[in-house]
Amino acid sequence: MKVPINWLKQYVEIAQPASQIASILTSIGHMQDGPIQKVKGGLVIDIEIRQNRPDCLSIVGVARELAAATNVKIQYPQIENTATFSPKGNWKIVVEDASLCFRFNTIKIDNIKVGKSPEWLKALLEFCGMESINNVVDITNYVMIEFGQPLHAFDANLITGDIVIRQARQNEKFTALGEKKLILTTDDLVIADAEKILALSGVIGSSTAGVNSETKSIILEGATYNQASIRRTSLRHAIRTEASTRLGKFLHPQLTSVALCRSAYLLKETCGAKVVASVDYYPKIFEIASLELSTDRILKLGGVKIDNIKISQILQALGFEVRGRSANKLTVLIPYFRTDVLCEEDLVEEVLRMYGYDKIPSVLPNSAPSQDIQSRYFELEEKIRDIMTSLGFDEHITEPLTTETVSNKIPIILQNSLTSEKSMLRTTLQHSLEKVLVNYQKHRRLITKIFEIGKIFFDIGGFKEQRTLGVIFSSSSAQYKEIKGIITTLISQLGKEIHQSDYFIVPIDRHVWYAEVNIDSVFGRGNIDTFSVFTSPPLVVFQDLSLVAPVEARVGEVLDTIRKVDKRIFEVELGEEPKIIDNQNKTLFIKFSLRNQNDSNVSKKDIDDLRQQILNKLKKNFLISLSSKA
Amino acid sequence: MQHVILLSLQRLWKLRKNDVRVMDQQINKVRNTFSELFDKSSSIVSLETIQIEYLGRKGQINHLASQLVKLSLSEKKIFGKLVNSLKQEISSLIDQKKLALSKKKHQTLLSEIDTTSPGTKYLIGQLHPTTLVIRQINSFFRYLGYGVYDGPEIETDEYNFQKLNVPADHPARELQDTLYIVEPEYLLRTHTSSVETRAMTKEQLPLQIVVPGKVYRNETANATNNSMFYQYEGLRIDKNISMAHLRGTLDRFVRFLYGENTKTRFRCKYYPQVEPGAGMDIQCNFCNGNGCQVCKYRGWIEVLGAGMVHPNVLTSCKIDPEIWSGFAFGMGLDRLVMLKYGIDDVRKLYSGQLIVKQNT
Repeated sequence: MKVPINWLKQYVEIAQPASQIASILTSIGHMQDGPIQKVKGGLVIDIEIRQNRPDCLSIVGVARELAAATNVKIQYPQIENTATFSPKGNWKIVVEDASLCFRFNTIKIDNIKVGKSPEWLKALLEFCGMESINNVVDITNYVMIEFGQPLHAFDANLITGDIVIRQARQNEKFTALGEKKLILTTDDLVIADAEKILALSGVIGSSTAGVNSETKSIILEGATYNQASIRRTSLRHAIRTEASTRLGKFLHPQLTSVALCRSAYLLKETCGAKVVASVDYYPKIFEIASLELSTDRILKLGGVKIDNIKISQILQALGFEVRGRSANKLTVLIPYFRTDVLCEEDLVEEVLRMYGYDKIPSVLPNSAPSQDIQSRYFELEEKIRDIMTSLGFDEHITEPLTTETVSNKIPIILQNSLTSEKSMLRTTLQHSLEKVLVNYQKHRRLITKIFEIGKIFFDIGGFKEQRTLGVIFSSSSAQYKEIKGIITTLISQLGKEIHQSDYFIVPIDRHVWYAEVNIDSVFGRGNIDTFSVFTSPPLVVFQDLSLVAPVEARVGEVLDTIRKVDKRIFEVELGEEPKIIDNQNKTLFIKFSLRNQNDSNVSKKDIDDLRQQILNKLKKNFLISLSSKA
Repeated sequence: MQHVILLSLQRLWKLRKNDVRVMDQQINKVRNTFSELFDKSSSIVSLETIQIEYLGRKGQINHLASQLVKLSLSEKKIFGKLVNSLKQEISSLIDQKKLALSKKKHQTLLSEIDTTSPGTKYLIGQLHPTTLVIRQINSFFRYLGYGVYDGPEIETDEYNFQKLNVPADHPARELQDTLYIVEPEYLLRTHTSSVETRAMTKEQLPLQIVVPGKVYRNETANATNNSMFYQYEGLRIDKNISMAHLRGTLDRFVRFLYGENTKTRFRCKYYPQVEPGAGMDIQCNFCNGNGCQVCKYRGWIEVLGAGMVHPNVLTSCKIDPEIWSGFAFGMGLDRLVMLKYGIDDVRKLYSGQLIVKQNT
């Protein structure tokens, strides 16, 4: 919102420099949004008006805030007295759906002389970046900026029959100002007469019944619509106007009267025009609301004690009426323009922001910390990060929005993505990590070790998200067993049992491997000790088994079988890579260690017995026998 | 009678004289045997053996010292000094020789090596800059007793909007271009506040959490905006929590992030999920508050949005606003990460274009 200082000065006394005005407005909730600009010798400040304060999308609204903050009185501009608006006009206003239009307030003004605007008017509009069109249109624009109520002037002689506020017909055509051709839907609200659409309600007008050089009499309207409907229309047709910005928010219907009275006054002053009649559609009056404010609430929420007199002064300066000033309860009447004040806490904010947030003390809470509900999943992920980096892997974060197509999972598709490259959620981390790999290769990295921790998503009847680790390991000689070793080392270092179903490994290329670990699944696994503490060195006996196995025997299964033979078997490892002996057999060299549970010596007999048990089992399960060379 | 006494004194004197002579001989003997052994030994091990033999608890020197009791007070003084200086002499000879030997050993071992040649590289992986910043902030809030909480990225309209005092048709929805999976029910969370409503609904009070995480908006990517980015939010609900506590917490946090001397500004700002709402700015350190391009000529840079949790939000999460109150705060993380690591485009953060510099 552009606020010319010269314009503000019409309503409020200003002694401070513009930069200080901007800083005062910022501190009370209207943040300075850009540099202070010099337009035609005058200073213009730019402030951000949040969506709860449409009343401040007006110079009068900003003046009201500034006056309250600087403790001066606001001078409201001169307006015509509503008494002059009788008699009732002979045109009819038909609102087809009362839930879409709350008020449609019109006056007829005769004796219009369309011409150039006076210089002061042109200058003020120019400050706000608005072009001067003619005196009538300029005045409606001026009043909109001044009071925040959009207005529309129609040439009274170009309207045929009743003024109808109705939903557009499906595919109804409308040419908006600026020759913009629109195709409307039944969700769009229009102002029409018996023959044509006059305007897209609250958004943009047309030239069909517009004010032109021949215009002698106008119908001026100020309306209040269903804000959501206006916003949707504005969004649907991608038309954002000063009117739609304001009418898309909650403006009080009472504001239409004020704005019409102000326009009538200005038209009278500038071209001697005269209000001759009025018609007001306003079936359900919006009552003035009141709220109870407990002064304890200010202390409790604000952490600062403000005395009752000060509280009342602040609220009155903002236009609130304070009644029933009992010990600690105030009854506060909400001014019509403050449509944002709906509960006691809103009043607390009003008092605090004017009192000054900078006067709120800065202290740490002194209550004891609450119970610790830190996510254990998050902690597991942090451990994974530490282990992966210690294994030499760099962490990356890539975007979960993607277009990947090859997947064995059903992807979740977005309904309204702006680009086709980001039309669905990833079902694996592989594709985005492969793109990172390409970047590494561009940088001539001979070895690429990268990982990502993030969620993957898929449709299993419901929407499923799964915490996932993706790993790429690439080098001139990267082997399957290396990537497998990385994943199994990781899981055991996490203190979790290794289950093959928790991860998978796929080759991307001959020496490029991708592994994906289901973190959610690993999280649920049983805990194992990552290390043991011995007070004295354990009494361990190391044993070798030199075996001959059929080629199809799987090493992992053989090792598992040996592990399960006896609790005293401590570690079982493959001594060296198996070598093929002939078409049917391969060598299998296995090392294992034995340890008694109570750390006593393992006897020669124990060893012999165990070896025999292992050999029997291997013979039975795999047709494995001792090597004859051994 | 007198004669008898004299005789016995003379005898005693002779005896004493004998003790003195023996002592003298013993000291000399120890010195000589030590010298012989010391000259012969040429290793640290043999020197340590000698050290124990002479200076140990049951060593030669302590043996000599035990002999001193037989002597008179004045003799004790003289011989005590002699034994002590012998001890010192032996100790220092051994130490010097040990040092010389170990130096010689080091020289021999290093002589075959070019020590100016670079060391072997051990590559440790690097964490993503965003992770590093999240960790830094987590550690601050962990210290204050907060726990990191997480929640789903696919959210429902209820947790992402309705429970946050943003009903259907609220103007705030326009600001957040939502990515929908099934409109209007299922969407990608537009802020991490959805995790806060989940925590408030599910967990017991009081409550202290922080939420770092990915959020999504339907935006065309450019250097400063991306359809996926990171937010960091915090929430504290307890009895008697006020804006003073919010300000205290944020002041401390901002100084932790930007330095002890950072100037802060606490001001009013509207967000639908809080009332009263607040914003915290830091004074722009590029222009010292005078206004420049970086701070959009405000002199201040907005770093945090915050406020007291709106009673409608508390109520929708089944919390009684008459008993409990709380504050919430939030910020975007990416700008902070980019500033800290000199990255000029947010897209580079999340597209694998950050190639980690290999340590040398």
